[in-house]
Amino acid sequence: MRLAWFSPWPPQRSGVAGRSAELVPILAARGHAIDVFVDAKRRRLDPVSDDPPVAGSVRVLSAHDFVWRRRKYPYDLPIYQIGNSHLHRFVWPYLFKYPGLAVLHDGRVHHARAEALVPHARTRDYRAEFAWNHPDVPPAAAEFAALGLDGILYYQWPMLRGVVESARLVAAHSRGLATMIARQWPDRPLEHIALGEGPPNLDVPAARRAFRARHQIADTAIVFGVHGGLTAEKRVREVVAAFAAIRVSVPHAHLLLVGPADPWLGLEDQITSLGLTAHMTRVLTTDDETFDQSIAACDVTLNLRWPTALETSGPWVRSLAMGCATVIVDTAHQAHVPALDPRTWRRHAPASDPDPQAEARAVTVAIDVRDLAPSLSHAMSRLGSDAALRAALGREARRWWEREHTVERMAQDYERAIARAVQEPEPSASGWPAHMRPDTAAHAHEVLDAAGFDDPQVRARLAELGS
Amino acid sequence: MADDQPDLSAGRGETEREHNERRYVAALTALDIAAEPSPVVAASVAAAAEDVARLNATWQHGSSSGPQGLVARILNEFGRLLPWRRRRLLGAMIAAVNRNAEATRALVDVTQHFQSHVIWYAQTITAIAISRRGQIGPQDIEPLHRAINALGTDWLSRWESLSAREERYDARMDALAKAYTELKALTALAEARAAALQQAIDALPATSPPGPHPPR
Repeated sequence: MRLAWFSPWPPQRSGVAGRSAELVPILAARGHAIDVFVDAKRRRLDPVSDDPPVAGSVRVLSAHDFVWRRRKYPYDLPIYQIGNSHLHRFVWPYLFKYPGLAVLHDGRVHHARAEALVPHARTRDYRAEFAWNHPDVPPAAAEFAALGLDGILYYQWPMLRGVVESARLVAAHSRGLATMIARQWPDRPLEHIALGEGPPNLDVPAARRAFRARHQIADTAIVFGVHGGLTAEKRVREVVAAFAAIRVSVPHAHLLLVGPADPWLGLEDQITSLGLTAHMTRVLTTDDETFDQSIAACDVTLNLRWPTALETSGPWVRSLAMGCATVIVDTAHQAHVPALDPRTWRRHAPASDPDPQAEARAVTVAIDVRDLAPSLSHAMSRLGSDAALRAALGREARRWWEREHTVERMAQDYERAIARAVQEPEPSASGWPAHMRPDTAAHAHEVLDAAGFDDPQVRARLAELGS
Repeated sequence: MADDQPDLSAGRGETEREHNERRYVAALTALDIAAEPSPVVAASVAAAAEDVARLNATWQHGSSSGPQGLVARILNEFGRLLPWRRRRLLGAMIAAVNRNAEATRALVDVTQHFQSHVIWYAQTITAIAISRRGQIGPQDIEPLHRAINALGTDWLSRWESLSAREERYDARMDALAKAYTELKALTALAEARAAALQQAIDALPATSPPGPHPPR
């Protein structure tokens, strides 16, 4: 099939960019012809011929080229990678105008939609879109964003309707998110596509030794790791505090922080004031290979992002691939993952697995967000001193990854979703806020008229475009 | 007269500001109260947890927590088929489902209550912002931002914790319902096998057992 793939793309630093770059060549090798449409403002692009893509090929193009290329040689399906970040801003106009397969990496896109509208003098559009997304919420709630109060309440109102109702088919990378969408929009076609990532055959012991040797971390140290951008949402300050507390019971504990830290965290001051500098390793930037090595070097990885945009954490999935014990926050969209509660060391109640041996099948340790600090200390203390528990969790983690998160599994899910999406009818756009499907031809007319440009041939083409 | 107008409008502005500030204080107080833990939800969730514990106990009645041999496991499975145990399990399931529905309803009520106060709060802030258009700077917005974030975080953490529990509860009920269906299928199969066996025995020709005849 001829596919138009809209996504952030390397060298942009984004998990979605990385997943697209890994997956697209695999789908092309299966016989698809793929044009990847990217934000040309954010990366340099080589010239590409005006001809259609051939089967097995991957070309990277400016998103601005999509409209005319589509008229010249129609694509079977546009595929949109949707996330709650400014890196996806260029995708929105195409998503709303050309229905396709919308793949949700996040289930809350309020930050991204507000960012696409409010700072660009489109507060009125934002208000209209907010009211349309959440008709049961008084419109005054939109004033939070209009006043610049872009905080926690963005998570309460996800602004997902535009994605769900504009797509021929919606796919979610998280099982929990797919369940939530199915509940809210039972009539919209929906698929779950596994989030596939993580090295399948990494020599974990060798990678562990290499990384530890390079950073002078003792072989005997019990290493706790936090990976990715170090922000307040990743609960890094709580991790550092818990680490300081458990050093009494786990004397060989070592903390590894991989990724740039948000300056607002005041991380350096906290580390210094707790006297932890000698027991920690900071790695600011890494390439992909070193990033994986840094996970392999850990005994336990801590993936505590909360609140979330209902995503599945990439570093967490990579930790599972390497058979590493992990700690996550107990969230509704991840409730299907078999997890231990560190307050009881039993499965989180009520467990769906009634078997008395259910604990042995736990894949991770999940912390109730209402009890974050004490539960985190319990979890780190026990995992730091119980090698058998770490090994058991690691074994089950790898097994879960092989079932749920391989790249091969993701490619198969994409094939299924693509085959279904092309069969689905285009959804109706009636009742939408006008700005979501603007009259682009009229806008072009205005621009040309203002410049005093009048050409019958151009007018004819614009009329065609408007139709 | 014209010279008096600025004073008059200043007086009106003062009254409006006072009114807005009174509304703001009332909205903030109400929001604060709405953010308090709800005893109704807590009681419902605790009762639901007890029901689930009872359901677990009924389901696992008689089975050891350690590894079991094949015979013990078969006996356990057949024990679960006994009518009084099936009735007890069903009763516990229904009670748990009802209680869960109660907890969910309470949760939804509390959420809607809180949400309505957040909206009221937002409306109040908007009124103040409009009345003070041009006079509000970042130094005014920042404390509001922090206050709203703190309240919102607290609320969202409650919601997350309860929602995760709710999702697991649904999964648990699905798993139990599936296990129960399998059990019923197993029962039907066992009954069919027993009937077939009985028919086979009945169809055997009546023969006298070998050995000496009993004394007349």
